[in-house]
Amino acid sequence: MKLFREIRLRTPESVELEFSLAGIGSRAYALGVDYTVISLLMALFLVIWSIVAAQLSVYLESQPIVGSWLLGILLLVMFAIYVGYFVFFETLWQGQTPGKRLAQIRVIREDGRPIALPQALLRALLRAIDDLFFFVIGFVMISLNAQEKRLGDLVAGTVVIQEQRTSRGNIDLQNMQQAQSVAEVLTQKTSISALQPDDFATVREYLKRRSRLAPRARQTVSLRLAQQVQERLGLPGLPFDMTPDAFLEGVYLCYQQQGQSGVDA
Amino acid sequence: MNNPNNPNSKPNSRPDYAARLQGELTLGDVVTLGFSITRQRWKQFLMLALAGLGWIFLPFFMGGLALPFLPLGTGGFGRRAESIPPSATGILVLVFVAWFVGFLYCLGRYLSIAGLISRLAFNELVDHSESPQDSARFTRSRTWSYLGSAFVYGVLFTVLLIIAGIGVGLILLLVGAVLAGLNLTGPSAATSLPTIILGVIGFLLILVLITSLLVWFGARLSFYEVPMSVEREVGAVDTIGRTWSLGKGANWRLIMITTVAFLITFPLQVLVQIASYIPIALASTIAVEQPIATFLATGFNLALSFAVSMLTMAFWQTVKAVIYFDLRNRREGESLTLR
Repeated sequence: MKLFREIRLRTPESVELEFSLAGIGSRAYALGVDYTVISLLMALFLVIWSIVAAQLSVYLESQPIVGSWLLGILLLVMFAIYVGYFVFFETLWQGQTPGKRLAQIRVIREDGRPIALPQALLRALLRAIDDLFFFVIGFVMISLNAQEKRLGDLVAGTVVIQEQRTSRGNIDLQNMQQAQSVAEVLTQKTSISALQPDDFATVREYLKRRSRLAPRARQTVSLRLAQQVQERLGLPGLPFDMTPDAFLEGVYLCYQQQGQSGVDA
Repeated sequence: MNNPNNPNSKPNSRPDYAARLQGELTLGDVVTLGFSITRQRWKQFLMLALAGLGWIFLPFFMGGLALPFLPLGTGGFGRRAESIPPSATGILVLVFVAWFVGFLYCLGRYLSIAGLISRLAFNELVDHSESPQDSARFTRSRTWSYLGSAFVYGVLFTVLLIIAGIGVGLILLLVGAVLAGLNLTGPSAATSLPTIILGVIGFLLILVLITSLLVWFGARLSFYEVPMSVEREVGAVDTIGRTWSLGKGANWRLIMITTVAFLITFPLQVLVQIASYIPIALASTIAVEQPIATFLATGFNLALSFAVSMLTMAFWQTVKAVIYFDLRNRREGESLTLR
């Protein structure tokens, strides 16, 4: 059983897309943030409304019906804030609310299309059931359902996915010249396509994250990766005397250039 | 280069399961992993949690058994304190010391089992194939170290509370000084509005101070026993230092992770509560006599609180392991390796 669940969708144009499902942690995080914002909005409205109510009751002293009207409008607005928040944001931001943005997840339709008003409305209305008793129903459904759908998702035909994100950081090659020469040597000596896409992704990941690694660890990792890449490419040794970092940068350049020339060809 | 099953996929744009685990995990992912690992290994982890809690329960159980026999040492019931022979007192003290040492050992075993759950979860994350017996042997051999580190942790927090206490004292002094400055001393001033406002402000400040200190340090050191559960070279005191340095710059993130994990435990508790109504429903349909009914009810409630503790322990130890994995990955690139 995988630790992260995935889903395969079929778009109306019969294209198959693969997505990673959001996961209960991210959804809980997003929900926590959203509920906090909603509570603040409600609290704000409550304060404003109490002031309005206080003022009104001064001017319309002997109207008991006004009290129930005020209460009624209050409850209605609270409900509207609760439902409207999700509908508004999920429709406007293509399936994201502020909480979902932070958690980097998104709601989409079962067929891969972005969600529209009807789906957002259904989801938001059924949230009242899903979130009852400290989110029991929603929690149970998300954990047990293979597509992590809660009641709202089932009815609206939506799914919550993980945004495909790339790690923070740019790859600024520090030894540009050296990397270039390495790339040239590599192109001549080996077939860079011996390196799998996953391996290349790892190298790229390292290049992005290396500035954030602890210095001693960085040396260990770069050495380890350089040696592993060397093995994969079947090189007896490093082309010439260089740091593992420079070698990895060269590998990165070479792979990129090959990829581009492959597309052009 | 392209995924042969899907001609439309671009290289490196597949939601590769390994890539998600390899990159820097998002906040939510840490909790998701904690949950899914616990789910995957639920039988093993819950059994371990049961054993751990059993160890905690043991010294009190033994103590409870021995209690009726204590008066034998003092020469029977109803003896007055002065008439107890000194030798009996000596024996009592010895018995208590022996019990206390036993208690410490049981505590250490509990902590080592907690560490074991974390180690197993970590092994799952890094695909380290170690037999459960070997893992258990590793943690069990460190029983007294776990106790030691728990002691250091306790000392740290005591110091923290003392500092917090000093802070509270300062705030109270400040409030008092302001009140005196405004000439609001005396019983007539006690219920006047400015006093009340200042009192409330002072109270809130104290609350904020204590809460922030506890949350800040609590979250940062939440997984203090994991480094020594995973890394061979890390000992009882080192583990706290390592935990501290791993969390550098990530304190807010840790606070958020523990908050979200805490949120997840709510529905779990509700589920357990719902389960608790089953015997009551059953009992009402089956006519049972009173003493048996209360006995069963008490027994069931006990079992229920045990179940909650087991679930909580298994889940939290797993989450701690994922936190440790993620921090180590971010700072030391553990997962940056070709598979």
